[in-house]
Amino acid sequence: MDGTKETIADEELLRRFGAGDARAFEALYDRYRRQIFTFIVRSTRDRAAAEELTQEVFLRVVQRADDFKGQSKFSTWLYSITRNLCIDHSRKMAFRRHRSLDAPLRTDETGGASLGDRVASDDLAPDRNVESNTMRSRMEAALAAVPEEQREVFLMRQVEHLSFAEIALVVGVPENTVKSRMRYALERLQKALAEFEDNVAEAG
Amino acid sequence: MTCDECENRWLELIAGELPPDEGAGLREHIAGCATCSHGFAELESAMNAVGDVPLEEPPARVDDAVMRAARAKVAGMDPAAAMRGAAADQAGFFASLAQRWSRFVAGPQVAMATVMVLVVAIGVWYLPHADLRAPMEGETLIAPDDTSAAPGSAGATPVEEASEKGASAEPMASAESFDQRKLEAQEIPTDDLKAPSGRARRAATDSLAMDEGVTNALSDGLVNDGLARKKSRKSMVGDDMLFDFEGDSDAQRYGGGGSGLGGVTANASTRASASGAGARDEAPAAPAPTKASSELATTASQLFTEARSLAASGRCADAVKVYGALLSNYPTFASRALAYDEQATCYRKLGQTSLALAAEQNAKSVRATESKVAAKRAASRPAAAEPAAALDAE
Repeated sequence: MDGTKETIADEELLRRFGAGDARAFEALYDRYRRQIFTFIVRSTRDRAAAEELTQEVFLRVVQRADDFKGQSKFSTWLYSITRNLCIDHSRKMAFRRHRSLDAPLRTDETGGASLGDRVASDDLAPDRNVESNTMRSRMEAALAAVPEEQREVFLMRQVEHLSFAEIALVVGVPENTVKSRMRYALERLQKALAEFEDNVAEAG
Repeated sequence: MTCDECENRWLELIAGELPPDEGAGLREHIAGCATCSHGFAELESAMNAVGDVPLEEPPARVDDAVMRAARAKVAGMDPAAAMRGAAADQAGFFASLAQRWSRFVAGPQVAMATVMVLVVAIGVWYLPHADLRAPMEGETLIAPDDTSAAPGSAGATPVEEASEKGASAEPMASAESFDQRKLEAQEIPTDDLKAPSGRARRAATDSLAMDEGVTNALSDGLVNDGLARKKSRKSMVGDDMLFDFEGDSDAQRYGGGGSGLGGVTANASTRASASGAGARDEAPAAPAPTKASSELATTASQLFTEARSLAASGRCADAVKVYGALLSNYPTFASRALAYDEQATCYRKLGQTSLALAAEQNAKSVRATESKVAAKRAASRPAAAEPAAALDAE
């Protein structure tokens, strides 16, 4: 979060925008544009979809600015919108995915990867993962291995630094559950990153 | 403070979000508790290993679209429309559109619909042109040109004989050839009989290779033949099959391009069987003469008369052509054997002995077939006459 964020509260900027101040919205958008885009990219693992969804998130903010009553923080409201759109997108993708793409590649591979997992995924190729030692690609690959419910908590916490109470409001689960998910996510990520480190060391 | 209460605050403690006094209390508990100390160290290690998530920079087109929507809202306009408009102005619009489109067309429903549309489109395009395609293999075996080919060739072989022998495909193919010519002639409106269309004229002229006068006469005959078939259609099963192939409408052709040959074959065989049953009239296979079939009889007779007059006047070359047209297009003409004999005579006068012999052979074949048909009739008559005889006896 930018240090200038505390100069004028998000809620006040939104109120000013509702009153007709386009520059107030510009300042608000500038505070959250990278965080929201990052959250969506990491959630959907589809950059083009993330662009569309980011536009859609802020379009909703523009359209509903007058409806925001300030009963919650703007960031909580914004991430609620973002999360709902990501869930809708995920459902659409699951519906569109062809059945044959979900089937195991071979009949004897009951628990094996499907063709869709190998073809439709935007994940980096395994060999590329091993070769890559940048923080971004390592985190990208590691996050892909984290379950969705843990990933969204981790992203809200680490990207936007929302409090666990705020995340609990956005996700709609108790705060302790949010913390548990966060810890599970951290453990998985730590393990995945350690494996990548080992692979890089072996490849080197 | 219990271990559970302590563990519940580890994340905030690591993030430095707890008030100083509360944080100090937690650290005191952790330092004195081996279980919490171990767990907290692991969590702190994981947090340090993972760290923050690197932020991604959205493209400028996203920023433009969002800000255009915001300005539209302030201006009292529709922000969604403004955002879409911004997207349309963006350089990457086509890439985005292509991606949306690719997602849409990747669905199985779209693929199936596309295949179906293609199949229907190809069918609609191909079938109306089916009669214009190159002759099929069976058709190339035919020598429809009666003026250049020997009259005794397969094209002039009586259909009845072919049917009974059941060996040669050529007579059937020959019948198909005639049927196709008739099909084209049928498409000529009756009013245009005196001035046949180019297509009908070309079909008659090309396929029969006759001179102009004979072509006109033949066209008249073919058209009348077609009319007669239409009028007697319901009463003739065999000709129904013929019409199914010959295509009164395109819809009948869409029934299957592959059925065309089958239809022709069936037509040839049914016509042969109708003829074999004794339907000896100029209107092929007509069980009961109608007005149209009478007209056909007149036309065939006219051709016969014209051929005879040409022969009598010494124009044997013309005569054999007219005989050929008569025999080719009226396979059920009652006096076929006689016509073959007279054609053979003309050939002999022209010095074409081999053709004369072939014509004589055809005459013999026709007579042999007629004899067989007559024998069959005679064999079936007593059985039919028995009840009548019994009644007479009573």
